[in-house]
Amino acid sequence: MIGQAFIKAIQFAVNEVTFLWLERHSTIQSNILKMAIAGILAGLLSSFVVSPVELVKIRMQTQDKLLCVNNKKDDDDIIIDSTSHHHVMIYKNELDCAQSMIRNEGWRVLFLHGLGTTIIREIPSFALYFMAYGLLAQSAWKDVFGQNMSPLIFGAVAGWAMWIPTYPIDIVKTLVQVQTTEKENALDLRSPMRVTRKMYRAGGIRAFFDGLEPKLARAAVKHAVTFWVYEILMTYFRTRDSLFP
Amino acid sequence: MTKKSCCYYSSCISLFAIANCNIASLRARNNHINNENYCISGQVNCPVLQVPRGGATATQINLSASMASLFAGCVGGAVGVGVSYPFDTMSTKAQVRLQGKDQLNLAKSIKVIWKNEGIRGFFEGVIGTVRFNHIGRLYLVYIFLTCT
Repeated sequence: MIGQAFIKAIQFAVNEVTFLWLERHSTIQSNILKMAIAGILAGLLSSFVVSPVELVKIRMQTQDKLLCVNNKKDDDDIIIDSTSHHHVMIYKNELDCAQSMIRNEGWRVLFLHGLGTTIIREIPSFALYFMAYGLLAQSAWKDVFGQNMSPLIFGAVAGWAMWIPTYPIDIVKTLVQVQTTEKENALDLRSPMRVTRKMYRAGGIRAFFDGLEPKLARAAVKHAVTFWVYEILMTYFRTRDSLFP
Repeated sequence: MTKKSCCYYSSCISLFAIANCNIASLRARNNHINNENYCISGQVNCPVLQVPRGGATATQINLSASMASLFAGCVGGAVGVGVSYPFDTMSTKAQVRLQGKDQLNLAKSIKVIWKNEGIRGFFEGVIGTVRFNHIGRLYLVYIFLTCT
């Protein structure tokens, strides 16, 4: 949770600083390009933190297996077999989850499992995110929604612009990270390419967009609230002399 | 209130306190440079919570801006993630379930998770990321701040 807060903090700060730096030192004229560069840097830097945090998060969220167990139809449909990975385990908390991961799979797995896929997802998604938000903030829509509503709505729209194109990468990342790396894991779907191929064979293009609806709802809520609080605090810092009135 | 949510709120508050201390100390330093010490609301010898009035160099402005951005991002991110966490759980569960034909929509996933696990099911994993990643995260923030 606090981990997520720091991730967001790193992303915002990197974005702001990169943008300021580019404004001062570079000859690039286009604002959109600057936003894209800032977003790419923020995404790249934060994915080294995002990857282990999301690895633990995903394993916590899926530990009960209730949604997976009852859906066995035939072998081609099921990518993840309920008996072949760690889901039978119930973790007490996130510390327990991380500890057993380290114990069973090693330190390297915690930091490297799914890191490549995370980087591939983070870079375009944050470039899109900051570009969308920056473009909207410059446009005439700002006057339409007003000072208070616009960060909220722009944040939600930027969140959607970020998630829809990168969602297939996210689903592959989740499926890679949910696999254990233990030797007994017979499925061996640790390679993102293999997961992609198997998914496509099982469900076609539609398979890559399963769970998109809750993800979009999450993006709307999360980014709207994040940006809303962020903008409120930033306006506060810019206008006030002291931190507390 | 459960133990979990108590823990969550207390860690949010401690984060807020840490960020406040950082901003406060930074501003104290800037004030020292500018020789402009103010007192706030009757308190004596309290130059801490003031912003420099002009005369700050480019690096100071930059650092200050990034600090404010960091703080605002921290708080905004914490609130945003906390509020939207149930949707994240739904999405992850739908992704792992993975059936190309019969998709789980929003209403259906809420129903299934509620039936099987109750309210806990939505918030599994919301807090404890901090417990082992906290140090690493602070380290990154520190590097970032010293670099800029």
